[in-house]
Amino acid sequence: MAGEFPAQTNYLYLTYNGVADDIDFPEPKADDIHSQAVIVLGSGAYRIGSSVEFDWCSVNALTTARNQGYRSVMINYNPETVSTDYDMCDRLYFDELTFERVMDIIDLEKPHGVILSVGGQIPNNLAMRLDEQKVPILGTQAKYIDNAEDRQKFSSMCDRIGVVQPAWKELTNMDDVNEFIKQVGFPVLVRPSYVLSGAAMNVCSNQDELVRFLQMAANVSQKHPVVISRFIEGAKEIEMDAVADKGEIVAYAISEHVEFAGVHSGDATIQFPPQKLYYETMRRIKKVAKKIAAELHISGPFNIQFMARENDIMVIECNLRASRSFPFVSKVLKLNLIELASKIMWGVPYERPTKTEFDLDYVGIKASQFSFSRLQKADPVLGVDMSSTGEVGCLGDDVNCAILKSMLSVGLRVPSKEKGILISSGNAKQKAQLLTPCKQLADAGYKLYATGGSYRYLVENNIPCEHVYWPSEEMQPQALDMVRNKEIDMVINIPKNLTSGELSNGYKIRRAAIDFNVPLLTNDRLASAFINAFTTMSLDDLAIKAWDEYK
Amino acid sequence: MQNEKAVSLILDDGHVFHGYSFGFEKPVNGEVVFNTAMMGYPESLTDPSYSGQILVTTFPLVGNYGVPAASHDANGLSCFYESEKIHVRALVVSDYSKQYSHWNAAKSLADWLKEQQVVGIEGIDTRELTKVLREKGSMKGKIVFDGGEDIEFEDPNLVNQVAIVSTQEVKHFGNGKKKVCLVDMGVKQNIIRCLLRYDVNITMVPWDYDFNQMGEAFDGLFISNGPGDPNLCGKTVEHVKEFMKSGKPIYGICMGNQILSLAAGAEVKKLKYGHRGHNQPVQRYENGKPTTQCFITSQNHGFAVDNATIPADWEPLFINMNDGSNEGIRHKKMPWFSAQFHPEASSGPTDTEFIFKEFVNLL
Repeated sequence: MAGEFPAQTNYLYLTYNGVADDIDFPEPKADDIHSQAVIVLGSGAYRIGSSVEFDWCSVNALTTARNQGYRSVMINYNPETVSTDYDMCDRLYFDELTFERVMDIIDLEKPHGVILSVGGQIPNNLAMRLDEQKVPILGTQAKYIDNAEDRQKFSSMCDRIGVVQPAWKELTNMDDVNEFIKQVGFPVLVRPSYVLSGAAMNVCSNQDELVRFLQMAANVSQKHPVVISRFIEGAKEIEMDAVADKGEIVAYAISEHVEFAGVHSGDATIQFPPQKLYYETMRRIKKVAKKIAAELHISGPFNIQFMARENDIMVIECNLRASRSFPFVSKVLKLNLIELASKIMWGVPYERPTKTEFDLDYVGIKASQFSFSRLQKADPVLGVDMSSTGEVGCLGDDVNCAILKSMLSVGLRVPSKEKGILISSGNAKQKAQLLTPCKQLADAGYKLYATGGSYRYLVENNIPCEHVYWPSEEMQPQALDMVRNKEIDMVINIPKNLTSGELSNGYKIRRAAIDFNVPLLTNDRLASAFINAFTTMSLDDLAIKAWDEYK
Repeated sequence: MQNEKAVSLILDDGHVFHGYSFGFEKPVNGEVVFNTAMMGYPESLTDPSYSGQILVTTFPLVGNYGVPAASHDANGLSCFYESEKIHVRALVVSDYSKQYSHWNAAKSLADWLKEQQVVGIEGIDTRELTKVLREKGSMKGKIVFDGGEDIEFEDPNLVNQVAIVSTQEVKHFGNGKKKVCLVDMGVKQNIIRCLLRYDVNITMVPWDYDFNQMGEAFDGLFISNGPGDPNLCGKTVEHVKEFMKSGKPIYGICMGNQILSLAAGAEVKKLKYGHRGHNQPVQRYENGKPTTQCFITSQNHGFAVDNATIPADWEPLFINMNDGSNEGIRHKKMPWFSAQFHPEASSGPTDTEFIFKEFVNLL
């Protein structure tokens, strides 16, 4: 659209009926870096799973390009990002991140290079098609991106270099599905193969669930195969964010999920540096990452997700791009991994960082913010599908301090001793996990209420508590009423497993907690960490310090 | 698109834009002007102020909500149009939407244009075209069908367009107490609809009709909008001057503002590319000073009152905040005032509709 006066701002877009351009496209000169463009592809619309973290990565890539003297060019269509502020780059194309549109812009700008690895999955998916058009892709080359993205290729590579993955198979009929499950056993993780990044995944614990989910979400067929993988319970999940130069790791950050595997990495609470990992585990992770980086000739940012039980580690997935934890670990480590990765991708000299996470005298916690109060009737329980809508990053002198800050920041509160805490704590293992925290609560003077099994377990272990009843039991006092009457100031409700029966049992209580704004914890590991934090330190102990005071 | 005939829009300065026809097929000439509104094409096309003009919409997608049926209310006024027919000579758009969907749509824009024998073309880079018009000013243009008959350029501002669109006979609307004489310079029907919300009866007269000789005691005079060059409407100016002797309220909109200004003794000049759109900002003035009141207005005019020529008894009432041009005048003592923009909107923002109340309250 044109109007009464010329547009002063740099919001560019392409159109079909155009006969003239508003701006000039000078021919780039080989000897003049200022005439050469670096195009950064952004992340597109914000949605669950792709958000402001990729904006931060894009902006840092743009800034690094500018500082190097290149013409920085951004393609992104999301008005709520910083990368689409017209003064963040030399040219902003406010346009689609489709192959056709990106190619149009590349034809016009004749860039020195294109960066696909800072905008999340959308640009990453364009790698192969842009490569076929001989577009200069900066960083890891397209065929290696494909080798990481394609499950079969990645798996056979892992086998070749001796890296273990949880057993998985792509299957096209029920007989094969049953045969595979006979080998690996329940629970299994099921996902339709045409789905990316976690949507419509489900964990199935028995045959009934498997059949129901496959009928509901994924009719197994030749055309629509499902991928079934072994689901390992009670495993730790570990992330490695790293930057490599021609297959050699230059900088890395290993971080640890507070929750066990089964909570989507976007929903999990992440501690960095890791607080409870064996040194041996860390070393093995580094070794595996080294092998993968070398095998995939990685130049630029990448992320690998691991699962660890005891010291056995397995690779869940590997993305040859910046991940959502890059900004967090960069801030905590005080080392801008994207700036480093950008310099490597352009082949300009960089300083090899000497600092590692082992040098840090403080702890960072990334916690997720949920919007369950706005999603009426949704079950506020975490699973393999991502459901958080935001996150906070907090620093503390120790893990308790950081956990406490982060939990308060995402809307939990330290419960009042005037009121009670309701506990219904899942299976035997989870009950055992919660025993110490419950003792801490009782010792601190909190009044505990517990439902059936949890009540018996706590009493057997000499922890004073009062018996309350499920909505399905016709006895008084009713747990639900207590939540509604605000007699409860914190609810700890741990579903035993992810079966639908178990989920619906506690649903009414979880939902009531959300609807009446009572803090709710549904993960035993996170609950333990939070309880340990607020029973060992008080809010007055929280130091208010600026980012640069943590040294 | 390939079934549609290829056409060329040729500008007086030699620019040629190629597109395709989606309306009536005949060569056509006129003054090429652009409008920045995002919607409102049924109202714009039937606005008599566009008489003689080829209208370019800067908003790229046009036609997606179809066209309402030609129905009439109890007063005989069109329910959804601004007059009984399309007044533009041609409509130029970037992307014509062949599909339409709207609760009130009765037909497609293409069918309506064909029925009214008006040219419509699409596939034009309206952004580039607008930039040309913005740099060089509104100019003569013509649309010819490739391989078809040619046509000469014509400047519609040399012809008295008001005489073409004004009513031929005196008409009456409403039966309220206050008597308003409405001079039809090419009135948009929403002006009549807006006035009829109050306790008035309206006598609508042709542009050159001497309403002073009707033997009726009007409580006030209302001069409507209209097309073309006001300097060709000397007769109306003389009649307004005569009416001023009565000291009764006078109000003018658009062309009405220009006629009132001419009667006051000011001069009216052509603007480079005019104001046509829904988001023209105007600022209200009091005693020669800007107030804190600003309005977003609907506008459609190619001529404007020259602020420097406003006589001492008068003062500017509104100023356009984009280019500082005049948007209305007021007499310092007498109840005579006007607006260059369209308080009746249709289409566009209705923020200044209160002006009708201000006028009626004076009666």
